[in-house]
Amino acid sequence: MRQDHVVRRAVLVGLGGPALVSCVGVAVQLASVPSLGAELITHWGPSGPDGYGPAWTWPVLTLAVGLGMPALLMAFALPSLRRGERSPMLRLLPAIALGLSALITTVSTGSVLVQRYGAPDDSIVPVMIAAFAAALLAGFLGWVVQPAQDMIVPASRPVSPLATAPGTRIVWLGRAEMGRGPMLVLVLASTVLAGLAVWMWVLGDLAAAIIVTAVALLVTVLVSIMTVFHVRADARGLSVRSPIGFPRFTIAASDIASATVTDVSGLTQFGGWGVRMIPGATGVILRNGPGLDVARRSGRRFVITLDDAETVAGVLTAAAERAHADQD
Amino acid sequence: MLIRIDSGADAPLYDQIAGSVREDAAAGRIGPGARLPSAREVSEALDVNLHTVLKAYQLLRDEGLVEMRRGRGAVLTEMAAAYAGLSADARALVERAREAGLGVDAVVALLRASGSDTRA
Repeated sequence: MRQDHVVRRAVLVGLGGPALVSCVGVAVQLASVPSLGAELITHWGPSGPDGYGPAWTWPVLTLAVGLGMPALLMAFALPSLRRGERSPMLRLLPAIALGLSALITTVSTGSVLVQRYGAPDDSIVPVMIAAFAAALLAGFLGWVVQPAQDMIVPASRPVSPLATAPGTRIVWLGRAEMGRGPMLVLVLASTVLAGLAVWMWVLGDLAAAIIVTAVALLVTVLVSIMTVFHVRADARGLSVRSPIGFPRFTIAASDIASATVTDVSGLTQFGGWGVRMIPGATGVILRNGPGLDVARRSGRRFVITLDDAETVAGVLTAAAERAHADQD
Repeated sequence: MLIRIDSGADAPLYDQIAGSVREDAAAGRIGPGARLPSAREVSEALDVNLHTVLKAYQLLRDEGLVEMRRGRGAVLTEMAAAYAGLSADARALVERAREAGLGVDAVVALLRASGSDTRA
């Protein structure tokens, strides 16, 4: 019963709210323009209007962003909510969806109204201020009308220890990797940046060249150290490190309270992907799906997405049992 | 990739490492196209000589389970899928043999014999 209530509120805030806001916005816009083909200002630069387009640009933008972005965010949040997961992040996502919708709807509608009823040289700045205020207000409202959510993560599944005969050494070696699609996008992005940097040097714009080169280098370094991790699990414990050695995480077998298999949803459990620190847990989250969940004796969790999490959990469970037996 | 080695066993270490990779393929833990960890990584993790690991990879390459690709290292071939596909049959066969009072060695001998029959 209570669960339905949480999900219903999230849908109301994250989908119903944006639908209402953007539909009202579009209705006002349609009522204010003489015709859909009329030419309107679609972009303001620092020194005034610098982009023009047909009037239908604004309602289309309102619907595409004001309804599309919330739908995308909710597409991440809803499956987790339906599975029974709860977290402050799952309460925040619908509120962000509503705030985004309010932002883009106010910008679009305000832009149309300023041109329809304002003086020809009216500034767009008040509209932007109103839009950010509306976004904050809508986001805040979206947050408070949802019930508080105590953390409930999907139950992690214990696995049986991979027993080893005395004298046998057992090691699991592998990689935690991103999916091919996101990886391709990142590689493409750093390639484009590198190309842009070269182009800036060719053009001879020194300041721009230095900035773009620095950004390209930073992105390339981040991509190369944050997308692949080498993982080793054996009797000593767990070792996770990037190809260049940093960042690295090691957990000694004696510090492992339990090693289990879990189902990871990056955005809703860790607020995104990559190396994530959240209260109570550290995550190396490169995709959604099966992951290894190691609880330390202090209670802090370490989660890493791995295809063969089951085997790794088995190795670590056996290692932890042996380490604890040696201590007692 | 899960590797088990027993330094007290009769089989040489490189044989045990290669056997672990075959078992990984049979269990479906790694499939065609999967990259094996570098020989250096394996040798450091197991604390064995680098040449031992290279010898194991060489053995697997010779039987066609692994191919060496420039820039990607040792990669499993389609043969890994064949291993996984046959592993259920193998388990069933061993199970039947056990019911009939035969051990794994007997099954291996039987397989060898029937293999040489078909070749002849």
